[in-house]
Amino acid sequence: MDIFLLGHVAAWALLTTQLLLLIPGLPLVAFAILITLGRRLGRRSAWLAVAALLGSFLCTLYIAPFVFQGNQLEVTWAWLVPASSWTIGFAVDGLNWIILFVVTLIGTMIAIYSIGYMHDDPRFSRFFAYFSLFCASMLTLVMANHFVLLYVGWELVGLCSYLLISFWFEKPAAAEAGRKAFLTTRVGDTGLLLGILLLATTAGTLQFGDLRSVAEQLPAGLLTLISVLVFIGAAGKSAQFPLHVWLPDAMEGPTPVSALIHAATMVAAGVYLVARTLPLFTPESLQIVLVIGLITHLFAGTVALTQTDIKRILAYSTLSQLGLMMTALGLGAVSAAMFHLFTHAFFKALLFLGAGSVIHATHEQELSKLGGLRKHMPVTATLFLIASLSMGGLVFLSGFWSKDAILIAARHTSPTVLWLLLAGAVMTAAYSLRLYWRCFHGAAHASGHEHAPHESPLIMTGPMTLLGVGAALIGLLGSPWNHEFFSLLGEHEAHGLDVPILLLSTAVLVTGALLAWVVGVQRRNLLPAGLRPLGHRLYGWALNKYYVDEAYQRWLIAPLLGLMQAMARVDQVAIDGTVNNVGRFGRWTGETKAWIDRVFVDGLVNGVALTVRGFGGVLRWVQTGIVQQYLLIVVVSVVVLSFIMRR
Amino acid sequence: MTLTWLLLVPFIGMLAVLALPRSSVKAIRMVALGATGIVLIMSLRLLDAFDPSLGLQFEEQVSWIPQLAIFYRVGVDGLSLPMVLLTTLLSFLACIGSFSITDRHKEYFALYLLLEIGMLGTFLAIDLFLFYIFWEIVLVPMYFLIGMWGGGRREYSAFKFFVYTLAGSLFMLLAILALYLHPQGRTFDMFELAAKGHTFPVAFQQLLFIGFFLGFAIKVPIFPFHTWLPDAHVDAPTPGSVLLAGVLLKMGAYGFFRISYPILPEAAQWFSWTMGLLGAINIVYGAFVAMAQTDFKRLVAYSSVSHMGFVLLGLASLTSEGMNGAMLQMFSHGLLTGGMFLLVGVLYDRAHTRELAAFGGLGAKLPKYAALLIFFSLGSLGLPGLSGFVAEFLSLLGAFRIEHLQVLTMISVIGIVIAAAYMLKVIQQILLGPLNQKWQALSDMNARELISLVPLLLLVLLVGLYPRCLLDLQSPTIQQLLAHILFGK
Repeated sequence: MDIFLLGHVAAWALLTTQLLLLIPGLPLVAFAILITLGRRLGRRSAWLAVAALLGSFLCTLYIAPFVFQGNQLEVTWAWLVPASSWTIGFAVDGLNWIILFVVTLIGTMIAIYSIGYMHDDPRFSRFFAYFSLFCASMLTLVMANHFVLLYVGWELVGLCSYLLISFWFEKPAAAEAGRKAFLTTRVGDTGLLLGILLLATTAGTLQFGDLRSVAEQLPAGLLTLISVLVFIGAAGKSAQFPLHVWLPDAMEGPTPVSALIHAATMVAAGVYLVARTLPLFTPESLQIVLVIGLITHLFAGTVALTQTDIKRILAYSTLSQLGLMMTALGLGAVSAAMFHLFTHAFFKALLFLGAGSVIHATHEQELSKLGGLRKHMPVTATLFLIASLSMGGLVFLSGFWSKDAILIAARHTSPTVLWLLLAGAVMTAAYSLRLYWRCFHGAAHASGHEHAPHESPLIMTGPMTLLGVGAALIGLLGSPWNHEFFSLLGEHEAHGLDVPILLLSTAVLVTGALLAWVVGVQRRNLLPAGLRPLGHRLYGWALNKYYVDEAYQRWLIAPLLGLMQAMARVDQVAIDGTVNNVGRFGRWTGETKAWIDRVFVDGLVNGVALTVRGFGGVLRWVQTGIVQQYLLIVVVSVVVLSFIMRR
Repeated sequence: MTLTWLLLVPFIGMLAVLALPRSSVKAIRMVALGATGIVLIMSLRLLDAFDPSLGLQFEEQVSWIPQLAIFYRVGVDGLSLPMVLLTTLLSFLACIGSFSITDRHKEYFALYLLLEIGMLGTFLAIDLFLFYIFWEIVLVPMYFLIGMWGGGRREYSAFKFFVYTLAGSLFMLLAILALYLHPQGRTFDMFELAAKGHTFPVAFQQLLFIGFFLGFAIKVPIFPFHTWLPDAHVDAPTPGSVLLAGVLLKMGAYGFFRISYPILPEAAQWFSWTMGLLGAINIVYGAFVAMAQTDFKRLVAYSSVSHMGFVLLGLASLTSEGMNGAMLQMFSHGLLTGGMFLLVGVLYDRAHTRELAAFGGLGAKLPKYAALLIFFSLGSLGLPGLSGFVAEFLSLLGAFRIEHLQVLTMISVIGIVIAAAYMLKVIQQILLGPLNQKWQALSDMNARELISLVPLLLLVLLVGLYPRCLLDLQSPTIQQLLAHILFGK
């Protein structure tokens, strides 16, 4: 290679590095413009947001060749002093390029969709401002090469989530849900913060690039502690049990928000964080990740089976799928977890957009009042079915490949986990098909409306169709015939087609579908009579989400609020009371002294009285607080004291 | 003469205000605004001329009471310059805010300018005696501002503020005298005393540290000496609250940096754990009590108690990160809480109530107000990208480095969650939910109110995104201070 060409390549690489700044930069600029000039821009606001995101997407594509060659792109700057340990910046490798791709592509699709969905909203431009800020923060989080910069993005996406959940803040439920989301995730964030502090003080570096060498130096016990703390943060963001309570309530936000933030991207940040910091995780802490992931996967699956609000069903299914990703991480199968994150983003975003399309058409999200919509909304129905089957794991659809990768990993490590995951897969198939059938088939309950529901406009169905293609086909990137996805993560040996797992997961899908049809749609109780009371009780628990919210309210929040009230009382009565009593005592002393002066001393011992009065007078000076007098005392006492001391 | 002019300009302004006829309200306001404005510009030029690597600069020294070796001596270094800037900025902005004062303008603005002299003098003084005088001067105008232009139980609050602080400063005075009278001492010069710091016997240092501590602790305020603060804040007029929380609290913390720590270095190390404990208590206790408040202004007052805890925690650590974080937190808290009190004032001027439960749904009605309130609340709850985060993070990091402070640091982190809880409670109760019909006629913020808040907003962003703008100023001085305390250099 001649010098000229080398120079050319170097210049190109430099340019590409600067390009990294544009990826979060464009949406950030869009946010700044929209928040200040949004009202004046009116409906053009949306296109500005779309253009910014599209720009980020193109930048992401532009850097793809570098990343696919296994290079890491990095741009850094000095943030704090000393610069050596506080140089932060962006770095892109295969792992986070995948998420960049997801966020910018799906973000653009959802932004376009929102133009239709938010069409009549009075705060139209505000919506796109927050939307852009979210994307900028999410991209910062993903590209950060340093724990603190990640934490910055981490908190900012939490903020955007809060702002967008409470977007229709006139509804008290929306306002409350936003607050709950912010506070619950912040509880998790303190874990992350402590993990960061611990890492900084023990390892002395917070760069992700150094984690491997850090893991070799630190003792295992300390690593376990750090990684568990980091995982607590991840669990808050990814809504893992027991910090999951905020995600179902977050459905109060506009549906495109649920699709982008609470299904495809932000809630997956926890999974990304664990994947990114995996060198820190010891076998012990991975065990914790595995258990928490499994609990969330199964627990949320049972709840999803019983809910009747379409967005809540999807929320619990998201919880369940996030649990599945965490399980994969716990098994050490990073690439499988990331692959599922990747495909899940497509089919789950599509499911939410489909749900949004239904809500847009019917203004109804209660399953019992929906049904038979397939005739009126054929496009939405078809896309919804594709996404449901993809999530359910129909062979050759995207979800199948990623779920298979996790099942294969489980088969190689722990058969117990494999069987539990298969049980979870039955539930996944059952709840997704139950939702589809009850929403789009059967009798049309919603026809009681004044005019029949209609298909959504092209601006909504267009992006949905594109996502539908993704939900169906994008998984082929990680299929036995095509290995791009895994080689991006540095795994170069190809998986074969695991026929037993393929058969098992097909059987699972069929079982789930049958259950959904017979129990979910036909409403037949399959349990033998003896087990019915137990079944009813279990159903009741799942229907009420196992009373976790109620337990928190009763055992955690109420006592805490009580404690706060008690502390405020103590502050008023005991601490401030003491101050007031000291004050009163001072006044009482003065008055008593004056009284003694008057009654006993005065007239009897004139000389003594004079002294006391003089003394009292000095004290009174102090209390009047006239500065000149006060300063005089100071000067006099200085003189007197120095005189005394000199002797 | 630069620094002396900083003190003279408000003094001349004060004389001018006193010379003006009572009826010419406009002229009085303009003189006050002009004086604070000029001081602000002068302090910015000072910032421009300041060289962080040089230590104490722009010194001026005039012998004042030679018999007692008392000098009029002023100067700035990396510790005082940020505080001077904070003071001149908040004084100017709160002066704009003072236009809403409706009676006795002449007395008000004269006292207001006297207050600025006192605050600036405290941060500029290098001589302990001079420091003490300025420290006490501050009390007088603040006493009258609360007592005459305040609301609620203003006489009670003003008196409590005055007597409580005065009681504390008596101990400080004793400690100052003891320093002077000690055979090693014989001077009021802070830097000379600091140079001799390590030669003072440890028991003597400890005793004096406690003396200074009582003086400073009441001002900061440190638990359990904090109860004057909510009363004084609630009853003070808006500009008074802004300066009280924004600047006066910093005087206490600055005292530790400037006097206790350098002059009594062994005692400072001896006190480290206690300081950390008090910091953690301030953070968590302040946050818990803030959460239980129903009055907007009282809630913000208790949040100050909580936020000042981070200063103590960083100070306790005696590490570079911690002390930098503590200084940064002082500046940042001045901006954020100044903004919060201005916002409380904006609402109170319109609604004449501060009960959080009385509001609701103002977000749609007052979009500008909502945006600013959300911004400052987010800053207050330590959102990354805004100034509070860097400061709190550095304080926590510094404290976490020290083994005996680790548990306290972990406890302090609870305060961050509770801070989010009470700030979101404020947002929810005032801005969200359905609009309370009572406030149908409320108007959004006017230009004057915006002008007093927007500079604070920009600075909160600047410090949050580029903390080095302050760190570069203060960190050389802090490094020197640390080397002096820990290694006697």
